[in-house]
Amino acid sequence: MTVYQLHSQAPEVARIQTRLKELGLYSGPIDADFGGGTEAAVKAFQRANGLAPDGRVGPLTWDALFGGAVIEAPALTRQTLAYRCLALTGSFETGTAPPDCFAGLAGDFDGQGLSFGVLQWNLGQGSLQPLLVEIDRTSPALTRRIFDAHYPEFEAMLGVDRDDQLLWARSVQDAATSQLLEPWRGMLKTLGRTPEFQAVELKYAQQRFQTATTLCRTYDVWSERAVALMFDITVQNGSINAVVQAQIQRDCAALDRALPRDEREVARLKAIANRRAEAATPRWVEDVRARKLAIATGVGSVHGREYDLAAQYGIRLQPQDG
Amino acid sequence: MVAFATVMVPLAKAFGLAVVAERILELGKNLLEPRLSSRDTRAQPDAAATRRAVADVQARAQRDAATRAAEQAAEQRAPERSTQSAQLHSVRDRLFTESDPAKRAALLKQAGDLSAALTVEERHGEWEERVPTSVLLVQDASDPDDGWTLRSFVLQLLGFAAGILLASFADLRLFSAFLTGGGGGGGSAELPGWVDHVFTGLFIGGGSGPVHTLIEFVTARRTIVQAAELTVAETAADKAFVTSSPPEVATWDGGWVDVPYAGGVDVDLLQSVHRRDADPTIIVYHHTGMSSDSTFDDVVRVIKSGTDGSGQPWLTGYHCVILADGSAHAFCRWDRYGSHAAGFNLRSLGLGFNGNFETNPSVPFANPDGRYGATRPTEPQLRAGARVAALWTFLYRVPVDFERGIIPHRQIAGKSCAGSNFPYDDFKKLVTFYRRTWEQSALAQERITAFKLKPYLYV
Repeated sequence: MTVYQLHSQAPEVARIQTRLKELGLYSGPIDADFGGGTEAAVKAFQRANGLAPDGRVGPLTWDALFGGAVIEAPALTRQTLAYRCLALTGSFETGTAPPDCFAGLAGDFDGQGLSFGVLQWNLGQGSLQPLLVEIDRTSPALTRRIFDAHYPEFEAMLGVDRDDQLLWARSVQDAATSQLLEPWRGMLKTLGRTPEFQAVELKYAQQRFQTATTLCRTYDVWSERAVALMFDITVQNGSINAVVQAQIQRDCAALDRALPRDEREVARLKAIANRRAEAATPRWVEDVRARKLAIATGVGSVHGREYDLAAQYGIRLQPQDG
Repeated sequence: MVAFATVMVPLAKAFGLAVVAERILELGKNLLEPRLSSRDTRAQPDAAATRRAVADVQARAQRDAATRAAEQAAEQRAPERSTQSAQLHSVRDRLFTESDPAKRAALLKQAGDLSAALTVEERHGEWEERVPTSVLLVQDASDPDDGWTLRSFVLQLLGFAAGILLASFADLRLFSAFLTGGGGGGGSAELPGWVDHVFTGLFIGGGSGPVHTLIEFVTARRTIVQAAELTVAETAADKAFVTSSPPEVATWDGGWVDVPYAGGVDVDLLQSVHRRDADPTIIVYHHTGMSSDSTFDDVVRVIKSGTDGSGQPWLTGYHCVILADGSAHAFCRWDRYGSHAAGFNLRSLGLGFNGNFETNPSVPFANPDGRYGATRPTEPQLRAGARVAALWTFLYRVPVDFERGIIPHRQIAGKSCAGSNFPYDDFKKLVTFYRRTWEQSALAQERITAFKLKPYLYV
């Protein structure tokens, strides 16, 4: 059953916020992020309409809000597994919910000029340029519309060598804070939110997704969660080395054979999560562990955000769909 | 007299036997060496190796011809290149202030075209002076020992064994002789005979090793003391110059800089290639772009691991590299041309200050926060560099002119070398000062004359 509540993040939350604003109950930003303000507004709405004021938008409240409509599950949950995994890892990486995480944007804080996209491709290592070239080639009308008067500059930037690309990136950001300046900030974010650019991002993340599914076979795990976990490992940690692999296999061999299938899967995922986290740089072990365990168990808090994989991302403890 | 004889006779015997032990040790060394050392250097070169060496020389000659052709082409364009490089610097600067989108696009295109035109030649003529910070940290570990410890341990044991055998055959009891005053035959009450044989054997078995160690120790100490004295004397004189300007010029010889040729490019490698047509007339000074903490070996390793436009590792680089401690090292022969400034290599000398003095964060591989060590050359480094440049003005016909004779790399390339934080004015002042001082100093003139006898660095 779909419920939108505190910490939910989805375009559907934006619809709820817009509706509450029309009713004069909500005055905050339409940011698709279900926070305390949205919750208070929902409670007020529920009281006014004779519903139990629990601050959660379930089928009844949705029905009352939108006059008879059936509640919709987040659109994200109907996407392909690759897209959902990318959205989840992207959300961890950029600290924003989808679809904003596909437009993650950072300046030259790390000497790489400019990092953009769900997996923070950058100019310095030359990983971002192919994506920008591709979107410009496949959707010329889109890039022309978004960059408008700045399109010639965008095009010229793609044509020069990396030194001058880095120089360009530094000329459009604040040297002290490494924040991109307008209009480039807004234009790139807009580009990142378009389905066309997200398709390009998905294409460039495809190889990592393949690696993740291969890893699932190696460790004999089969669920959607397992793919999400392996994908997150390939993005954040690169891979699993031989020593960690041996540790994981020993942990898994020690598991009770009588466990039901689903519990066995979760136990295996937790072993992978813990062992991989412990192999990280000491400073980041707990950070990595929280993130990986949130995937393994399906719920958790990462960087101050609450995650519920099944409800928010449609990543469940069920076999991968082909 | 008696006491003297009783001590001296066994001692003399012991020294005699020590020489015998040492000979045995030498024999052992010769027997052991081929077994323990990894490569046999005494093998005869075979025909295939000789053919390979000849092929190497031919390949180098071909490459030299190609390099020379590229260099001459670049030289033709030298005035144009200077203009282009000045334009590129100004275009890049303007990108940071221009806000009109159309003009920005034009600037970017222009920068792209200019740097493309410049880098084509640079890739063939000079190593790029861009080193990722990780490069210096990632160095293959090598075994510093090379089996030497094991070898000397085995030899030492052999020596002791020989010493003990000799002592018991000759029935030499050194310690009884010292303790009781009666050497030679007959047992002693204090020390059983075999124990004394062992001790005496150990004494003899060391051979002349302990004496060598002692001599080495004394010599090393003397060298350290002399070096320390030298450094102090030189720094005091230099400080006098830096703080108070030159009334004492006439009385001071201006100091000197020693340039060893060790660890750079193998002199034989350049025997038949990279010859100059004429003496150099320009000095181009650079920063290496590497960490100021790196050693000369690091500089050599990093430059040699880079490749030119045709994918071959660099044969040469700068002529002289100055480290942060003020030491100067010849990187390649001064009687050959280097690979440090495309279009100018055939007629210039390259002076590289080790460090990264570019502090503008908008320049790639810059050192704005000390990630490459010091952001400015140290004072000894700057002085040593100025001395080498001054020396070159005496050795060759390089005019002391900072527009045409002694120039920074950035003046002729699309690079920021030697960095925006390099003290250009101080360097110019120091070069002028050393030149003027050495002109007036008889001692300096003698040193310059003597320097001209140095193989590979002048003749």
